[in-house]
Amino acid sequence: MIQDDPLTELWLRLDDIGDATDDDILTIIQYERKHRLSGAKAVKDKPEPEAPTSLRELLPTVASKVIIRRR
Amino acid sequence: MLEAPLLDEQPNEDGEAPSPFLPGTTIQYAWDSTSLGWAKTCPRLYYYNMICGYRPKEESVHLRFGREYQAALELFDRFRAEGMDHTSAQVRTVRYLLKATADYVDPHPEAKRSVMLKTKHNLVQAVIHHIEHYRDDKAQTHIMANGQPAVELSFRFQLDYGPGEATRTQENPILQPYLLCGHLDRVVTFGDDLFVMDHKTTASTIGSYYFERYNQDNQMTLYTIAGQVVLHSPVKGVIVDAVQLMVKGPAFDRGFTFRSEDRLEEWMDDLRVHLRTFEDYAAADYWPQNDTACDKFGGCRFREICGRAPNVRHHFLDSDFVQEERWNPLKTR
Repeated sequence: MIQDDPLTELWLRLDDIGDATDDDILTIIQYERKHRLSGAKAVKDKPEPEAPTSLRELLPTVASKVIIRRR
Repeated sequence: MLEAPLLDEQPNEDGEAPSPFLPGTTIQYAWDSTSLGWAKTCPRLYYYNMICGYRPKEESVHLRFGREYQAALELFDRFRAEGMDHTSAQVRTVRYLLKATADYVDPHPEAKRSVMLKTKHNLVQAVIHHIEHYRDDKAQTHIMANGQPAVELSFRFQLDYGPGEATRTQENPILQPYLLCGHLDRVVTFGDDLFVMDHKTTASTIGSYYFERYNQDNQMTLYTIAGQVVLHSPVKGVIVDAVQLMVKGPAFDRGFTFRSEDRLEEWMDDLRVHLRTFEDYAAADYWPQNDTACDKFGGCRFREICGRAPNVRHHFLDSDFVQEERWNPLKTR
């Protein structure tokens, strides 16, 4: 772990992390932006699916009741 | 045919989730991919995990890390889908994460590598880097017909059959269909197609070998079906959005796993047979070991236990594991 980064500094400085300002957080984000791995992989192009998918016919046998909840 | 009202699947007045088992039995009627995966892998693994609630002592680190990582990224996706600019959404997400993890206890520095890497610092760093890595993401959060972004979607749907007649009595006449439950992190449009996106954290290398495992994966098949049922739209499969945790920092990659209609239908047919078999185990209160699965995925957590004599296993379970609240697919996040 990096010991002198802004994130560690923030944890050491504040008793209550809720007291962090937007500038504190921006400093962390900007630091991490600079220190991201340069070799991080790029988003892949989408490969071709193995077969077209349509579940229209399957739906009635799968579900007779659907409940969707949001947090 | 005995007729009776369905069990109440909603939380009670104290907010507690109802039991996923039929009353007074170990017959599970509400299944998610986790419990289904245990039962398919090995009935005894399922028994120790689901019926007894045994957990390895270090597992809480993995669960907490994964839960906070997913929650933070879901929050960011929601902010962005609601029109917030990138930096403001990132700042608010990091602020949320810092507060949510105020009580996060870092693993011991001498723990095994996969555990040791799951520190609070690495968690915050992984979220920030993920957001940066996918700044110009080709995958866009799907907006549902009701105008809401398709993130944090808990699903439940019932099948048109339930635990069999053999276990139904006059004293226990509840006619309860099976339920399939779970939680979709996010549904995205990629090109012209819909995919469920699922976040994974790992200490393993995330190459093609890592993603190939998901082509035959219980969770990804269920999520594809759930995505189609919930959205009433053809979902092509799942994008596995993986982060590899390393000492030098996180790395990211994504893999696509597709499910064709005939494979989904076959999975549903198989499920019916599996559920009937699991019900038989519960009715007999006997959970046989599948000894061909003991060395899968780096070795079963209960492998050493099953190697002990049957009459002393509980001593080793009590010393090597903690018994926690049982896993409950009906518990909402």
